[in-house]
Amino acid sequence: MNVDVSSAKLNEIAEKVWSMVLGLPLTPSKCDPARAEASAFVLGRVTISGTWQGSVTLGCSQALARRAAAAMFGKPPAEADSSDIRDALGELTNMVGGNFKTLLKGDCRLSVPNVVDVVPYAEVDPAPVEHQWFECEGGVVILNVLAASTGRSRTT
Amino acid sequence: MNVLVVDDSSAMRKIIISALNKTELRGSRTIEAATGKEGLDKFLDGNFAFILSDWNMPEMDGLEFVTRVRNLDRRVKIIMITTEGTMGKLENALDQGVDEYVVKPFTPETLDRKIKKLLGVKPQ
Repeated sequence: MNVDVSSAKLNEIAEKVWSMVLGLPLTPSKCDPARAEASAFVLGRVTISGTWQGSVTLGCSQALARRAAAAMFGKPPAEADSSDIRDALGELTNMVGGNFKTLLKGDCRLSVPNVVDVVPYAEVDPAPVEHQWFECEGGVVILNVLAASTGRSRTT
Repeated sequence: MNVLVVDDSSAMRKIIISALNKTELRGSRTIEAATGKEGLDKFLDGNFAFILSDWNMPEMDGLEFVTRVRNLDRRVKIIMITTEGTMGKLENALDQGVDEYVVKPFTPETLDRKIKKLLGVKPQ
């Protein structure tokens, strides 16, 4: 089952979460796999079950994930440890996924977020056709909405 | 004044407590709980004027937690902090005993507005 949520709406959700929680600007950008393949990512995931089934993932390049954690917890980036980074990306993913869920028709439930520390780009963006790319302070953020029925990304 | 913050995400508890320090409740004693059950236990142990609770939590969700608290105490002010923005569900939460809700993400100013409303403090 696909979901009819526009790219613009997804962008709006991600930008709002990022700016309100972290005070950092998130700017939509073009997909650049060559650049992303050189980075390791921190990957947050929430699953949605109910009338729509799938997952929302937020992949964030490692250095940016550290800066995001520092901004969230009000500490210098050098003092943000792996626990802070996991907590921060988990909560950001939870908020993006939760706001996405409210756009779905019918009754759906959101899982608690799961965060994996170091993953290659290929796992962050498994179906690089439908996704949202963003830039923030020189780092990359990749938002993906994956329908469970097809394993493919959201279609708009 | 004692404030109970119930959220399974330690990150969100930190965000809420940081925001509280910029609201009318600054200077309050904040107690954290990571589950609805832990929240209920801590509520029974303390004298709380405010509860800020997440909705989507494992084991005991926020609505069940609020229902149980309301069976014990009608006076404590309860703010639900949630990503759930569907009006029908939010109205259901209000019916269950939630006094106000704040949709995530939120600013400290939004939280302060809700707190002032519950305290009967006029906005400046």
